[in-house]
Amino acid sequence: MKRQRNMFLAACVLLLALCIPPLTNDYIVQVGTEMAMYAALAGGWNLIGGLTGYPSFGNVAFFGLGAMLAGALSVNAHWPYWLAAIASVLGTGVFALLLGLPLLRLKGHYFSIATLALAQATLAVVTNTKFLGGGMGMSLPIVGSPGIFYYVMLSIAVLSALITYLLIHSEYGNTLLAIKSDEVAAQAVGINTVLAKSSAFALSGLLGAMAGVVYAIWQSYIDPPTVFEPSITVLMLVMTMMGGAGTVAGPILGAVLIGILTQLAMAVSQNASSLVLGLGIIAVVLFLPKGIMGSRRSGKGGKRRGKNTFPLRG
Amino acid sequence: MLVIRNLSAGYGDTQVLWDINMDIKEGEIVALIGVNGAGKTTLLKTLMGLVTPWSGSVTFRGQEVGGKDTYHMVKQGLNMTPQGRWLFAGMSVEDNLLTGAYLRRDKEIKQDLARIYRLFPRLGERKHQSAGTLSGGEQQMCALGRSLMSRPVLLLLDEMSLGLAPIVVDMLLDLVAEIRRQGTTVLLVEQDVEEALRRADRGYVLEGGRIVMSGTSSDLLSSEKLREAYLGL
Repeated sequence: MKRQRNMFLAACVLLLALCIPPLTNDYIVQVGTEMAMYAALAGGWNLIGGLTGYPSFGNVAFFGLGAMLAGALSVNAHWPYWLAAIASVLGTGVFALLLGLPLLRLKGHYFSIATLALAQATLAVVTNTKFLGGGMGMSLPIVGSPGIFYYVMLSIAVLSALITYLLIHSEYGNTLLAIKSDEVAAQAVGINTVLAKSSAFALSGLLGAMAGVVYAIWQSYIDPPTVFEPSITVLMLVMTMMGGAGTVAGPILGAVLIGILTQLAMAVSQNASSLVLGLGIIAVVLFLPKGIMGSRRSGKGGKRRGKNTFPLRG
Repeated sequence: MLVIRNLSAGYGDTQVLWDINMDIKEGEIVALIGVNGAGKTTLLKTLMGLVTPWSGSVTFRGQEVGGKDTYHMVKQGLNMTPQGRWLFAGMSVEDNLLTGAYLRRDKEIKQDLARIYRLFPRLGERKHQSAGTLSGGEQQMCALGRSLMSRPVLLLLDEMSLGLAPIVVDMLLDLVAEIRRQGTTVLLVEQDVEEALRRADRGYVLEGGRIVMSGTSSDLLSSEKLREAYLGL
């Protein structure tokens, strides 16, 4: 019953989203594309940060690498963009998987700091690699129309939500939940935690790269500082936390809410938007520590225990 | 079944286990006793692959397993019911039990679940409740049930008595004989020397990371040295 209601709600939201380009103007479509992009990114972040409990501060690395790699393959290697896009997404996925293996051995703050460094290091490497456009950035051919990019971004956001939904209702999702709840116990029941965490990180990277690849051709000009902007990771994190970490709808809700808030604040003044975002973050932490969806959920889930997080001594 | 030879291990620069030699035969209940900090839990974690051995060998059912990953050990039939229980607090009791069968692919998981509920009716009553809301004794039952769900060949029980009422401890320790009857060999780690040895065939005494004494339970229980050091008699 509850499941049917949720499906119905999801269908309504999707229908509404599909109607935006024909019924509104270019400005709204532009804002909508950005929201869809962030919904996809936050959804990707949610896989590692929300479901697995590893708050990554470096997910922008996948977005940036996806964008720059696709741009480079198409502009410098003259590949057709669709092929460059696929290669870039897969390449970034492998990149995430391989880096996940060492990074995910770290826990808590150490993991967060290491991922922060990962994003900065990737930026440095990309900036200094001529093939990837270097510090100059790249101009891509202008193609398509705003409406098309809106629909493509929306598809990635839907894909992101779909992956999350399927994960949560699968055995693999339970595995991630077990790791989040008590990693040593997860190991002790026979879960290959390194593999499970790394594949969640890779999935997260794949979604980030997809958004990056579309962002590159949508903006038609990209340069490393823009696509590796640390605040993109922060937005993914805040949106997921605000909407509800570990839920399907949370990242989408967060992306739409923050998107609307930012636009409203921008209408007042350019600087007000950071102020609103900051106040929003404080409000979430204070009043909705589990996010909007997380607070609605009761029964299943329950409190995470605070003490005994490191039961390895003994 | 399990042969440990000259095993040393520790954390960082600190050596905890020194030259451990132990043998466990199929169908036995073996007690490992020692005071706090003797290295009992570290030994179990090393056997499970949660701590990497520094040197020495661990042979399980004829295969060298020292330093293998934990999931590999579980696949081989080794399972540990950890001290402090390590339950998945956010999951229901039933889901916790089912994670115990994580590596199993057979069709008898449902049957085993029913068996656990027969063994621990309290868990059956609370199967949909979040594991974090169970009492200490119930959590221990859940952790033990989760281990049994993996159908272990050798079960390592780490201080079940920790922080539990004596009556619950008695009930849990009595189950050890039942677990053996169902075909699982048991390594029982306890601080309560008398209770542990009364239920085991043999025992090892760990002190300062070294095995200082071993023998049959009756020998150990009547040993002057042990009675003085641990039983205060």
